[in-house]
Amino acid sequence: MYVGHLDTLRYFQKVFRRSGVDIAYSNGFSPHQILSFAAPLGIGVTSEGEYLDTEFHSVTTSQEMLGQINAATLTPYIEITELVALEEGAKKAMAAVAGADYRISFATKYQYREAILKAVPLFLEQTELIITKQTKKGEREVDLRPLIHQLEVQNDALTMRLTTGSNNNLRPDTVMESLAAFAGVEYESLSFMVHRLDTLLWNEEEGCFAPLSSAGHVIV
Amino acid sequence: MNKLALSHEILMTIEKPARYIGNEVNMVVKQPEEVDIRFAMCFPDVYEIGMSHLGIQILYEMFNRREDTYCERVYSPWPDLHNIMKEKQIPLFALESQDAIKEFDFLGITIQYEMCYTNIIQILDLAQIGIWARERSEDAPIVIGGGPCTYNPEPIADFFDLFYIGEGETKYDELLDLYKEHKKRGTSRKDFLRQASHIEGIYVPSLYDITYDENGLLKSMTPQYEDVPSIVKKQVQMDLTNSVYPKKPLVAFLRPTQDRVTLELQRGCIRGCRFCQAGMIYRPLRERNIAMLKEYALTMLKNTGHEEITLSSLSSSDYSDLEELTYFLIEECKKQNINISLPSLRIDAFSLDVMSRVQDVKKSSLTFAPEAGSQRMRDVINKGLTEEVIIEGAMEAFHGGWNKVKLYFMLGLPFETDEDVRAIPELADRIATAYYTIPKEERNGRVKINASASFFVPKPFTPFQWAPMNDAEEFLRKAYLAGDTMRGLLNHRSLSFQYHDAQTTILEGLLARGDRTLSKVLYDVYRKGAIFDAWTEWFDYEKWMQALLEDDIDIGFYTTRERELDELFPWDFIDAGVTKEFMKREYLKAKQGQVTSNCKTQCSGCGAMVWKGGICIENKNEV
Repeated sequence: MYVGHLDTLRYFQKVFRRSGVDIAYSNGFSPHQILSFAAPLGIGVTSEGEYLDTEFHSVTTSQEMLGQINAATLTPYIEITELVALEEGAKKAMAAVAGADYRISFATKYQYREAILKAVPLFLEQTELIITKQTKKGEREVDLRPLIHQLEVQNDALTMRLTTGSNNNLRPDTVMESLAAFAGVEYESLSFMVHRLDTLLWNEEEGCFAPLSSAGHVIV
Repeated sequence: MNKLALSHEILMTIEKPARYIGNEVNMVVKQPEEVDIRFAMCFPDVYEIGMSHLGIQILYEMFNRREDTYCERVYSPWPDLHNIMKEKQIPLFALESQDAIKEFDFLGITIQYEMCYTNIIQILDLAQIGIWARERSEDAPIVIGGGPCTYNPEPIADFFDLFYIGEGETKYDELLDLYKEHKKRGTSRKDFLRQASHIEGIYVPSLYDITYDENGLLKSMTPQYEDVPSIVKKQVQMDLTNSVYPKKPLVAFLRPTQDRVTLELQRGCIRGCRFCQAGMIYRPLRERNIAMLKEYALTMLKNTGHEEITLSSLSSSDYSDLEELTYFLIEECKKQNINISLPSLRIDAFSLDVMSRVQDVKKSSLTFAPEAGSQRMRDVINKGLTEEVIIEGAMEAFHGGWNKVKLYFMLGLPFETDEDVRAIPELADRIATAYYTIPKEERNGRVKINASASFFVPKPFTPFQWAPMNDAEEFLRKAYLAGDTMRGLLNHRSLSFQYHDAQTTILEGLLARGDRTLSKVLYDVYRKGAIFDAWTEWFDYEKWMQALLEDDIDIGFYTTRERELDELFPWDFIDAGVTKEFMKREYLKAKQGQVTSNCKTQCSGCGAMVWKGGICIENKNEV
């Protein structure tokens, strides 16, 4: 969780080398693996639903390859849970990603937790939630409301489903900042922890979100 | 995550938190309560630099092979975290267990360059174990220093309990066994240190009385007790093939400066360049067996998953089986899509062939280290590289498609004249001229020759240890002279010239040949806030000048003064094998511009023969 996205990619390159799976390399004097994350995770965020795209020259079965790769992660904190094959010409994970689920938990000493949790129902009733976003070209007004698909209080935590992707992207801390402002309390970025539960795609046929892994099939 | 010494709030407010969380691939995990000795191994610079260091990986492996010892790592907290730790009184911790250093038995610090000395004080300060050795309590860790700078440990002697002089492979077991015994019996710290001084290679600075004469010159250095040796003998691991080497090097999450497998071919060097400390203190040359290197290369690549491998030694071209090893690696690496990062090699048909196989000729450049511009000066420093050889090698490469050349020089060498300085750009110009003799259609556009110069620092245990160093003004005058000369030359559009920072060089010079009186300056400059002096963005020359002024230290006494041939040096208590007599001979020969042959051609009687091994013996067999 304290390792940046590019370093995590480097880490996985080495995992694949150690594991001995038949991964594909680019040509040239410094051949490298073609890896990309669906939605890079920020520093300080934990996750149990990350997706990584890569190419193999040859494959065996999902189960066998998972065993090989997991034997090479060499850290108890990272596990590959699924390995699915995508059809030729399928969208890359980065292009397919449409949403993500998060759980927000609060530091026990954070005094405004109750106030924030209480504000959730009214916050959701708003038809628009305009914030000003700093961009390279100056300030821009953005409506958060259509990007929040779900926001629920669960025990003492919050879960949320947000639009994610390269076109439209809403970060959970932006929601928290806006929610704190709505509740009229002070926003403290270090008083809550963000945990990603899953990364999602939009299933056109069914008209619903589904885990990214549903784009492929298990190799048997 | 298991326990972390720093809170989430702190980790989220500092730069690159991955520096402080440990848990890297191949990290050794032991239960601290199940071992007798806890050893914290420190590289006093930022994580990415420290993690790139081979020596620590070797010692980490060696210590952790002992069941009774748990060796962990610690690096310098970056200034952002430094301030937080000072303010909140957070004690410095080791990465593996995240436990405070003050709970350890040993804190070992490797000392690789002079500009990390304030970082050593930072480590001791943040560890909360007492900056000065004399103020450390009975239960504080034993602070031990090692590495090249311990060949003159005096400026930092008062901060350390012990120094280990030489290569770690030989005597650490004995030292740790002694410590275990001492811990069991509950004897005092002082008793342990005195006992430790009996081990060859171990230096306990607190056990010596030091006197100076009225001019500030060292007069005597006397052991306080009869059983404490007056001479400390450097340690050398003679058999490098059957000695410890990491099979599972640590692999960092955060990209280290050297993110690759390092294969150490050999230690020592036969060349005898007179400015080079490494070339003297690591004598005699000892090679690792090629079969061992091949096996370790494959094992380490497999266990790390690194995408690159490199060869390391002082002069790789001198390794006997370099061709066989290199072609073996090229073949293996091709199979596994691994890059080979070549060390700088003598430019010849072999190295050009290798380079063309592993790099893109259009992007790569040729590297030469003539070190001096004129042949006279190269004879003075005993650098056996002639202009003829450089031009020949360069031409061969130009015909092969190369068109970029890097040249490394030093300014401020002993006996240097302005003519020698001007010879630097002139040499670069002649290489360019040679390039343009190739017909236009056969060459690859314009040639680019980049000359860069560092400023020379005389080091202990070299023939130039007596030599005066230039001051900052003189260094810069010479750099401008070289640059101005270049602009007037025929091919100046193809040439460029760069030089290092003169202020840092002056301080390196001060500390390299300093004595114990400098420890106060180091302490004071740290108090003024100096850390990470090796980093341009943090280096503050003014703080140093202030501290020197307040402590009434004349920098010229240590840098620009020419030493008398019979002067007693602060580092003379170390027996480095290479004798003072030999270095004196070499200094006088340098003055005459006379060269000395390398160890392979002819033994010059430097003194390293006492180890009866390596090149000293092999040479005998051949003749």
